[in-house]
Amino acid sequence: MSNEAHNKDWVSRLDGLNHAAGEAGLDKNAAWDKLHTRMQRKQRKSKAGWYWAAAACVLAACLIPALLVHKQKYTGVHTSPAVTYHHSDTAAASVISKKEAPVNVVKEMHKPVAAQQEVAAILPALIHPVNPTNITAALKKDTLQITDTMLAAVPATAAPKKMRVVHINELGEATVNEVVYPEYKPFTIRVNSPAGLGDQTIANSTLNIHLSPKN
Amino acid sequence: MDLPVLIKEAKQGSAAAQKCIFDQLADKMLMVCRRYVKNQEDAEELLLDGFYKFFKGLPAFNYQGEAALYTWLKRIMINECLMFLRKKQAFVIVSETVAETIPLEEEALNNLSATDIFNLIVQLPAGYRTVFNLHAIEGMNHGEIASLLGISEGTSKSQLSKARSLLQKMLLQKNITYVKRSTQ
Repeated sequence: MSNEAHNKDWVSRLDGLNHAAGEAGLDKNAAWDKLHTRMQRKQRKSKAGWYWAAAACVLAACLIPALLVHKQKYTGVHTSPAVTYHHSDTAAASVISKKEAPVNVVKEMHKPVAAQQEVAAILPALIHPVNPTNITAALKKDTLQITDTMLAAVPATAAPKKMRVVHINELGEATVNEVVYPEYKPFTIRVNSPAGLGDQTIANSTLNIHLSPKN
Repeated sequence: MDLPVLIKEAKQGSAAAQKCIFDQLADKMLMVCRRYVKNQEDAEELLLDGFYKFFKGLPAFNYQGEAALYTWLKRIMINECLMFLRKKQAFVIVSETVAETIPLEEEALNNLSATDIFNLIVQLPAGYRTVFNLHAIEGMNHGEIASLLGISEGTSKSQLSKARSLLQKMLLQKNITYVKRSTQ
C-alpha cells in the first residue's frame, strides 16, 4: 500500500464518520439480533451435520457385517447327494449299464441351508411311516387308567398324526440327473436281398419295430 | 469495558462481548460499506456478513492493538463490498486507455466536511467510486487495485482519473451553489 493518500486530513475525517447526515442510523439491536440468529443457526447446522455423519457411521458399522454374513450364507455351494436313475425300460439299457458305467452329469445347485435342514428333519418320517400300534402303546403309557368306565374298556384309537405336507417347491430345485449312454443311439437294421427283392426293415429303435426277417 | 478484554471474551464465545464490539464498531463499518455500496439495505446486509466473518475468524486473530483490529475489520468489510459489486457486475469499465491524470485539489476536499466528502463520493458511479476509494482512501496502488478488481492497471488509472475529474466538476458546482446561496 502506498502512503500518499494517508497523509490527508480529509481521509481521517472520513474514516471517523459515524453516520451520514439526513439518513436514519443503524438499528443496532435489530442488526445484532439478526447477526446473532445467523451465527447460532450456522452453529446448529454444523452440529446437526456432525450428528448425521455419526448416525451414518453407526448404521454402516451395523449393516456392513450383517450384509456380508447374509451374502456368505447364500453364496456357499452345497452339493446335494446325487441320485442316479438308470433307464431300465429297455433290455438293451440294462445290458449297457452292466457293461459300461454311465456318465453321470449331476448339476450342483444352491439350496438354502434352512430349507435343507427342514427337509432332513421330515425325510425319516416319510421313509418310516407311523405305526398305529406304536402310537396306541405310547398313548396308553401317558393316559390315566380308569377302569370303571366304558371309556376304559374301549382302547383309545390313536388320532391320526398329522404329517406335515411338504411341497415340492420347499425341497428346492430338483437335482437333475442325466444318464448318458454313449452307445445307446437310434439305429435301424435293414436287410437287403441279393435277388433284388424288396428291402426289409427288421429293427428300428425310434419306431420301435422289432421283426424277424422274412425269407 | 476495554476492547482487549472484550476481544478476549468474544474469542471464548461470549455473546455479550460480541455485542459490545458490534455496538462499538458497527456505525463506522456501515459508513465504510456505504462508501462502496450506495444502497443502505445492501450496505447493512454486507455489514452483517462482514461481522459474521469477523467473529468466525476472531479465535485465530492475534490482538495487537485497536488500530490493527480496526484495519482488519475494515479490510473484511471492503472485501465483502467488492465481492458484492463483482456479483452484481457493478463495475462500469468505460475505457482502458490511460487518461490524463487530473490532480484533484486536496485543499478543496480538506475544506469540506466529512459528510460533504461522503456525499460527493457516493454520487460517483460504482466503477469510479470503487477505484477512488481504494486508491485515495485505502492507499492502494494501481497494481493492487488491478489484481483485486480483475482489471488492468491502465483501466484502474483511467477510472481514477475520471473519478477525479467528476469530483472536480461536482466541487465546482458546489462552490457555485455556495456562491449563489451567499449572494441570495
